[in-house]
Amino acid sequence: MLRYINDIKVKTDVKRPDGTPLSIAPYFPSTPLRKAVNMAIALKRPLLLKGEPGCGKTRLALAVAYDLYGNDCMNHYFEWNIKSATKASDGIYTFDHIRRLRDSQFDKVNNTRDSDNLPNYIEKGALAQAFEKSKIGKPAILLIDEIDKADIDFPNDLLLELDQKRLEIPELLKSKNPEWRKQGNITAEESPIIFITSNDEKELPQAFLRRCLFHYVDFPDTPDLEKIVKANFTDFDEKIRLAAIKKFELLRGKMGTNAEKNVSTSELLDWISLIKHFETPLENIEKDGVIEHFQALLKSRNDVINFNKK
Amino acid sequence: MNNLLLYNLFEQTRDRYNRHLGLSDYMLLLDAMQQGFGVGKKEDLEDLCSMLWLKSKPQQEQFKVFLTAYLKEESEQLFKTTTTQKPTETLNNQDDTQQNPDVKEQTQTPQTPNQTQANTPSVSDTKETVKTGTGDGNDMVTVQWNIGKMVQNVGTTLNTEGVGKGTWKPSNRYILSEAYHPFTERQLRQQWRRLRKKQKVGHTPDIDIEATIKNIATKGFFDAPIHTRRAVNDFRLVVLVDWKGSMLAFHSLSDLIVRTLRAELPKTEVWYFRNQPQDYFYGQADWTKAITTDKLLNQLAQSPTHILIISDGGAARGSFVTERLQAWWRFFNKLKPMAANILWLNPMPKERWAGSTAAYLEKMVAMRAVSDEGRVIKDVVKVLKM
Repeated sequence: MLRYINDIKVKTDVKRPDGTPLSIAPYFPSTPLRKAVNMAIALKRPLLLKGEPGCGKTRLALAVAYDLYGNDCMNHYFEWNIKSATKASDGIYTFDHIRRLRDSQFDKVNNTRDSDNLPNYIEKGALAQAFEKSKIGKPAILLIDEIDKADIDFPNDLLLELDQKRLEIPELLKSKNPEWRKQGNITAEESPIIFITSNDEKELPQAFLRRCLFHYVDFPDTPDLEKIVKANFTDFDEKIRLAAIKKFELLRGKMGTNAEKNVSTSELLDWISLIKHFETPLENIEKDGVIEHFQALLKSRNDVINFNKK
Repeated sequence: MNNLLLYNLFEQTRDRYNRHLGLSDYMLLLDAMQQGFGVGKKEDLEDLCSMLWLKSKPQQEQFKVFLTAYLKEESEQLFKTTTTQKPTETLNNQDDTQQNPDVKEQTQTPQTPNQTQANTPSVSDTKETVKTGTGDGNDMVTVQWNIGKMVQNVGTTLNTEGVGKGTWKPSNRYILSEAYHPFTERQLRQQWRRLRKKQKVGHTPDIDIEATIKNIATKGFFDAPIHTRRAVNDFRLVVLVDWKGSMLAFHSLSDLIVRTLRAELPKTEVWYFRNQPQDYFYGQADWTKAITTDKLLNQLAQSPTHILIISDGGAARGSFVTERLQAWWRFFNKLKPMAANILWLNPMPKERWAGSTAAYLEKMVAMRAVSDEGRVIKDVVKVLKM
């Protein structure tokens, strides 16, 4: 039943399409998360992921890509990082009007026709690339990261594209060249697997939510945490590892919802790499009321003060 | 039969948690189940439904409790129907031979609404249904009716559960909940955006195409793009918020309005007062950062400013206070020449204004009651834009 996404047990190196290396950190999806991924793929719906910062929302998409395509995954994986000024159309394409205008000036002087070559001025966005690359039996994986950062109307502008899995580039559609007209219409042969993450900074519109499946990524439990730490730090003293995790969970429990930012998995990993780097002895970690290298865990003045109070 | 149960579950989920669900969301569930998801254990169905229909964690948690109760009741009811049916089944078969199928259907259909509407159906009702028809169709009718009854049970059990778990403490004198505002943050922000007065400042990376083309036309060649100046919203709004006292219940509502206004309209100022304008207004809700009323009025005079007042005007307690009315009268006399526009948002419904100071204040200034579904905000925007 759960066809997709197995654990990534060790750090794996893959290559980006341009040949630069990229390493994928170990990843252990929980069973509910795996279920969610399988449902989203079966129903061809985007999967909306929420959860505490640092619990692995963003990394899921790449893990799925690696699960499907192994070392070739970067050819099928597309990432769209949303910023506050991102427009929906940026994901489809941008047309470099300025460069074309400049080229047309040179054309006049040199008596050439370079500026007529429209596809030259089109920069396809992640959405268009993913749709183009999605072939039958080989769906592309698209990550739309931190969608809540954009303007509140942004998700609504994507509805049509996400529904129909089809995009248009009007500049090309209007051209006389039949080849370009064909390029102006991008249809995904197979529905891409879309992951959308949100940190809940803005409320998402209902019309958008309706089209997504929703999964809240829970914080890993102790055995999972141990698995994660073990996989990330292979040659690491077991006693120190267990002590560090224990201390971390204690801190997390204490901070609870009162903290400005509760500690998360990614911070645990940072902290442990500090422990490893400075070769912090076991008794220092186990000592009550003190955290060595607390800078990796406590991220606001209030949290530090509150911790020292206890 | 299974489908009908699921459909009832869907309808109730929609009524309880997510009114935006449509038939396609139900079809999606069936689609998923056909592909093998959500069948088998109860948890599987729970996961599937909550993933498809509920888009926030608190809702998903609530749904878990609801589904457990729903399934428990449902299985009990199913069991009951099968036992009550058994003895009558033989009777039905006899009846059946005398009736032709058309007549059977006719007698069956009008019965359905009755059964679903009836709040306290008796046992004899059930028997009647079973008698009139047979086969699968009849099963459905009975089950539907039973669920209708069960829903009420679930509703009551769920509510009492919430109390037991200590989500609110009975020792408190009042409960303030953020969950039930008449409009959402999103609705507010979208409406506030319509309050616009563009003023251009600074430069942005946006290109002013028109100016650039004009530049090319005059020079005969293209040298550099002309950038636009960023437009900033210069809509000036002063919000006067009645705080504490009878407004206590509406603090979170006022906060929501103020928060969204500040997010959408950078030139929003907020001043707090209690009951009526006196010598001072306060910049903070804890009565600090005071400003004299005269100074505030002088500030308003400098550029056209819109005024939004959030107060119950005595309607919450239903009291009429001459003193308060006079204070407002004096204040409005000074304010009206200075302000572009004044609107009063009253969190109490209009029926409650009668007899209180609010009814008289309404004659001095445009006053709107906070109604459902954010419609009032549209109205507020309309008035402020005038």
